[in-house]
This record gives sequence, structure tokens and C-alpha cells, in this order.
Amino acid sequence: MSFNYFTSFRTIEVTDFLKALGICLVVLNHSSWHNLEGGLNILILISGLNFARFSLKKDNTELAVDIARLLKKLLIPSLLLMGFYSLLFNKFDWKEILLISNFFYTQKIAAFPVWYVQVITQLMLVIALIAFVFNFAKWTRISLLGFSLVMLFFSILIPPFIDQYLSSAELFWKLPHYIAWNFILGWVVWASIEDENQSPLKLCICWLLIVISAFIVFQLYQEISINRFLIFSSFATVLLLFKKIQVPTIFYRPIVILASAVFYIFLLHGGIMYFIQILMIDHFSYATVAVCKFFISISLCCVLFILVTATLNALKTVRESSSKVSNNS
Amino acid sequence: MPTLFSHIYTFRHNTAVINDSGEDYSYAKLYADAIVCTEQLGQESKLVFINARNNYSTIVAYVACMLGGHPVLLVAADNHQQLEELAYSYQPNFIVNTHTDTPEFKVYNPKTIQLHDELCLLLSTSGSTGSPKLVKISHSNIISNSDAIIRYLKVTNTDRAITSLPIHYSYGLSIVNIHLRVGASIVLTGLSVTNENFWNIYKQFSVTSFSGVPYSFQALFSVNFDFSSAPSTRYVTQAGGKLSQNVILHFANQLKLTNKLFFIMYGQTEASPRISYLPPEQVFEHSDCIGVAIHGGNLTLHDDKEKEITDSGVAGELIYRGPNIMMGYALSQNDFASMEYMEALHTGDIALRKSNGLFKIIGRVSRFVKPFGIRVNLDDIQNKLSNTDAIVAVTGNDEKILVVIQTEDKTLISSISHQISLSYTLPPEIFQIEMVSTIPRLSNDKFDYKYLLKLFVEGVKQKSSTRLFLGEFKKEVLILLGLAEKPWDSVADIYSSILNNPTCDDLSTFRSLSGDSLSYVAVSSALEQYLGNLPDNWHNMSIQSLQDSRYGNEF
Repeated sequence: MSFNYFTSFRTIEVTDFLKALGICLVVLNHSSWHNLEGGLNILILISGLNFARFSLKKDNTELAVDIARLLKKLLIPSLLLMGFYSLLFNKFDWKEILLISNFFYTQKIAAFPVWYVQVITQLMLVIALIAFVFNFAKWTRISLLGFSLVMLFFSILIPPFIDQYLSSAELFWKLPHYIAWNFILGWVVWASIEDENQSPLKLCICWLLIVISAFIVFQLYQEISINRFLIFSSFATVLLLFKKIQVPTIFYRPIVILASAVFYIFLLHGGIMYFIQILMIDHFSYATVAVCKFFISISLCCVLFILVTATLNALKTVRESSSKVSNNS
Repeated sequence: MPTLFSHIYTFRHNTAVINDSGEDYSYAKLYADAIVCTEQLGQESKLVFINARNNYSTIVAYVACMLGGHPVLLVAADNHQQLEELAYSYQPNFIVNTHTDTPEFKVYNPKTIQLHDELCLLLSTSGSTGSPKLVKISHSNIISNSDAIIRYLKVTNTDRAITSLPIHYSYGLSIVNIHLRVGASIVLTGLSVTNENFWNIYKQFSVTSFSGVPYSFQALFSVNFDFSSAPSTRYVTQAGGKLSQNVILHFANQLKLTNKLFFIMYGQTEASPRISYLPPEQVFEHSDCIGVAIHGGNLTLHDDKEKEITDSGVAGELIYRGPNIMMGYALSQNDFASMEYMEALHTGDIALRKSNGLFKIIGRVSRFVKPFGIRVNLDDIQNKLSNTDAIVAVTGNDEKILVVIQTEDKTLISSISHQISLSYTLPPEIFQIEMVSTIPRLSNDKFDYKYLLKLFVEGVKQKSSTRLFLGEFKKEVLILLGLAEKPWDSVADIYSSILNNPTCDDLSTFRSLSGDSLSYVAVSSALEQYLGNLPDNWHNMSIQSLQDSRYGNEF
């Protein structure tokens, strides 16, 4: 179909669009643009939103199945990657394999670029445990918004108490109780937008909560750059206001690929940047290296995502086809 | 020539339309506004595409086209891509914007288009994949079908409908047609039936009928909706696919308690669209049936030798005859000038007749395949190719159409290949042409299609898994890059394939199948491609409801 790719538009869900944007921010931040913070917080917010959307109202058994499936998808590639890096760099640490190194390392977040998987795994296990004790389904079915607000309230208040016994600052704030508010804020956002007839009051309250909670955690607790607060708050506002957006057809596919390849990019971009740094730093300017780090790592991760997905899908078709033939004969 | 709304001025004192903010428009106003529009369109017949919304402006534009004899296609206003594709393919004279109270007719193609005098309405049958194919509906098709529906629903000018479905859906449009035809009124709203305000409006304006697709009823069922809370309701209709038995019985029982009628209906776009209905008194005992043919129509069953089945309980293909069968398909602008007389409509559904005369659908005819989402009748191809000097057997699946020619003459292959490329808009690589000295047959002398398929299509795959893998790998890469589109068969196909969950059934949802954020993008993108328009709450909608919501799907 030869219609114009620039003047025609395709609809994309805002969550997908922000996922793509969020991961780009993460990679940009790691490529040298250290002022661009907040990408990961957006991704965590969307994870929380999706968790509320798909799982939070389910009963305990179904919730456990969902969490187990999600963890399986996260852990298998992460452990494989850790194995690969362990062999490559000839270093092994049981704390990494057990996904608890974020509670120990004070010089760096983790030995390998999988700290997010560690934290999200710990957080999901804690959520599963609390869900079993307090039966989330019972409360979420009464009022998802009310339940989410209560949980958000506790998730913001709890970190300073834990800090009295375990210093989060020394551990780079990468502990599950410091991520929980971000994840649970996603529940609040979903509870505010899930109805087709969104109440303006709900939206206003939710927006205030986004701003206030981000301010408390980023500015008061963590005392980090204002950029993270500003970027996070603006992106979260977009999430609150739009469900779908129109993007020019030419940008649709790159956005879908980026959004689909988020986990690949997250796991692999650090390693790719490391090699680009080694290969280029002596021959090119700092800015050139930074630009290359961004584009090459994103592109390679997307290519890898496409190759792996295409291989798995093609293998599945071949398998189905041979079983069809053997059934017929 | 009489048109569907020729006589509506006689209802000039009645209310025609009420919008959801309470403004009402009389038939006199509607007629006057429509006449102004017909003047803009001119005397000569024009092809018009309407950016359809559930609003007054859309109704005015639609009535104007009907009154002026201008063939019209309604396209969802929020689906720019679809409109662009359709406009590119068919080059309409006008595209109508309906975002204000007065429709804006914008010239898209000033050239004269040859349009058949009888051509009245165009309905789309394929999704966003493949060529957009349009069903041509004549004035007499739409009039006879609307009158038949009015007859069994007993619609009068005291009735009041509500736009519970988008007007661009054929089912939604038929609600507009029947109510305007009898001088009844319609409440216009774009709200979903799951929205509380929809029901506030319903009660406020004392709407007398509710129409829904399976999704509407499943959604109402899940929130324990009770029609007794809408006391003005006289009857409820359901079409758009098979609704599960428990939901049918739930609402049938509920409606019976308050003396309201529940009609289960069946149709296809090609039949303008209604074919049959289940009389409300039969719904308790025969909720699995599609009922009886509408007035003026006739349903029969045929076996695979095209012989009519008269015994009850014997399965065969459901064939419909009636004055509402379309005047053919349009694949390009040139097709608008012609009219094809179709004596019977092969529904592609396998059904049986119960002893009480009611029809029940039990499956689909295997002689239909859907490459690129386009329904193809293999018998049609076989019959057309059999006019050549060779014996030809045609079979296939949703990926390949296999043409086997019994001949020694190699030149026939190129002539048949040429004929195929001229006759069908499907990509040539879909067709696999093979030459044999004798086509294998079954003991009843019919072609052994199963064996042919296994021998030539699936056999090839078995012999060369590596080749198949490489072919599939290349295809998948192109799909992921957006350079090709995956020809999804159905929503179930998308779910089972991406979620790797072959156990999904019609009532499964993305949520119930444990879909998560990691698979969300892939599924939403595939659905956007397959459905043309992604519903807001799709992750909570059942596979069946999503399938029903597919643009232009049969209902």
C-alpha cells in the first residue's frame, strides 16, 4: 500500500510509547547524558500499571501464577547473561546468582547489569507474600483506587524507618522498599484511568500524588537532581492524560520495536557500551563516543531482539508443521 | 427509484434524532438538512465516504446520500489509516467530515466514477490486512432487508433506539435504517454500554430497544446488569457472533420476568445483512439456534454434491436465498459500475435443521480459506479454472492455495497462472500450481483434497525443514520490521501464538491467559493490525468479543 508514511498516522497505546521513550532515556543517561534521569522510573511505573491492569484483582493462586510466569521470563535471560558475563570476565559471585547483591555492594550497584531484575524479583516476592497474608483480591475488588492509595501511603512512609537499620544511600537506593512506591504509583494511575469515563477529580488527585510522592522520594529522601523529578512527573502526567496517541506511520514500527525490546536493551546495553568505550575512546572525541554508545547499543539490542524473536517464531512454525504432517500420516 | 428514506418527510412532525445532550431534531429538520447536502453533491451520482461518528452530522450525511442516490461507505472516524487505505484504493468523489453539527463534504476525486444505478451502500468485509474488499448493496437489498427486520421486530414510529454500536458497523447501521424508515427516533451517543452514563441516557430518553454484540452482553453480564432497571425497554436484540448459552439464558430469563422480548439474530454482510432470527419464544429451548429465515428469504442446506438436504439433523452448508443478497464485491473502482445477480449466498457455515424447522450452526465449510484474512471460496476458483481444457482440483489452507492440473501440456500451467493473476487480487505467491498425470480421487470419485494438500503443500515442508525455517525466519524478520504483515487468522490465533498458550477458548481474555507487560506490546500491535482499531479495554475483552469487533466482519 503506497500511502504516505509521513502524513498517515497509526494509533499506539501511550504505555508502549512511554516504554520506548523510557528505555531511550535510560540508554541516553548511561551514554553520558547524566542529566537525563528518570527513564527507569517511568518503566517501573508502567510495570506497576500493567501489574494492576492484569493481575492485581486476581485471587491469590492466579496472582501467584502470574508472578511466577513474569519472574520466569525475567530470570531465565538474566541468569543466562550472568553466566555469560561470569565466563567472559572470569568472576563469579553467589550473591549475584541469588539475586541479592544489591543488599551488599557498596562500591557499585551490581557486578553485572541486572540489578533491576534483582530488585523487581525481590519486590514481586514481597508483594506475593503480602498478598497472601492480606488477600489483595478482596480489597482491590472493593476499591482498587482506595487499596492502591493505602499501599502508596505505606510505601512512601516505610523507607525512612528501614533506613535506620540499613543505609539505602550507601547501597545506591537500589533496594525494593525504595522502588515499591514507584511500582505502586502505577497501581494508582491505573485505578484512576481504568474507567472509560475518567473522573476529573480522580485524575487531579492522581496527578497530585505523582508530583508529591516523586518529590518526597527523589528530593527529600534521596536528594538527587531535580531533573529526575521533572522528567518523571511529566511523563507520568502524559500517562494519566492519554490512553492512545497517533504517531506518524514511519515512526510506528521503530517505537513498537523499542517498546518490545525493552528488556533486551536493559540487559545488554551496558555490555555493548563497555566494548564501544574500549574500542573507541582512544580514537574519537568524548561526544562521538557517547553518540555511538547510544545508537549502536540500542540498534544492536533491537537487532538481537528481532533475530531471537524471529528464530523462536520460525522454529515454532517448523515444529507445528512437522507435528501436523506426522498427525496426518 | 425508491430509496430507503424517500418517504421520511411524511414523518416531519416526529422526532428523528436526539443527541446525548438532549437536543432533538425532527424529521422535518433532518430532511431539510439532508436536502442541503444533496445540493452540494449535485445531480449526478457520486461516490461518498463518510468519516462516521455516532452523531447528528453523520446521520444527515448518510440520509443525504440515500436520498440523492449517492453510493456511500461509512468508515470509523477515528481510524485514519483505514480511511486512507480505502480512499487510496477506491478514489471516492467526496469524503465527509462529521465533527461538527453540519457535515463537511470535501472533494477528494473530481473525476466522474461509473456507478451502477442500483448501487446504494458499500460495506467492508476484510480487515486491515490484504486488499480492502467492499460488498455492494443495492437499494432493493437494503429496503427489503430493513422491511423484513421491521416486520419481525414489529418496529413502529413509537419506538426509540439508541446507538449502542458504532454506526459504521453494519449492525449499528441497520438500527439506524429500520428506525428512520418507520419514523421512529434514535438517541445518538458514542458511549459504551459499560459506561454508567449510557444507561442514564437510556433511561432519561425512555429508549425502547437495546442492540448488542456478544461483547456487549458479556460485559453487562459481568457487571450483573439487569434490564429491569431500564423499564422502557420493549425488546433486546443480539447479533454479531455466537453468544455463550449461559449468557443468552441469563438475559432471556431476566427479560421474560419483565415481559421484554429477546431476539437472537444471524446474518452476513453479503446479505445486507440480516439472514435469520430466533423467535423470542424459542430462545429458552433453542438458544443454540440461529432460528428461521427472515421474511422473503429462504434457508436451505446442501451436501457436498450440492444436493439439497431435506432431512432434519443432517449437516450441510447453509445456503441463503432472498432479495437482500448483495450485488457483488468491489475490489477496485471499476467494479462499482457492474451488478452481479446472485441467486444464492453460500454462507460457508455448516448447519443442520432441527425437527421443528430451526437451523443450528455447527461449524464452517472447509472449502473456504482465509489467506491474508480474505475469505476465499476454493470451489469458485476451481469452477473458474475448470473452464480451461484441463481437469483442475483446487485446495489449500490459509497460507497456500494449491491448484493441481491434470495435464501433460506444460503450456497450460502458464495459461492458468496468467488467468489466476488476472482474476484474483491475492498475491501470486499464495498460489502453488502443480501438474500431475492423474489427480488422485476418493472411492466416490471426488478429488482427494486431503491427500493433495499433504503431498504438495505440507509434504514440501516435511522434506525441507531447513528451507521452511529459513523462509519463516525471513518472513518473521520482515514482519517485525514492519515490512510485511502477518496474516493472522483470528484473535485466537494471535493469542495462542504470541502468548504461547494453545488452550485459549472463545471466552479467554489477555488477562485470563496471564498476559503480562512483556507480551503486551506484541499482542496490542498484532490486534491493531488485525482489528484495524484497538478497543480501549481490549485486555479484558474475550477473544470472541474482539473477533466480533473486527471491522467489517460478518455478523
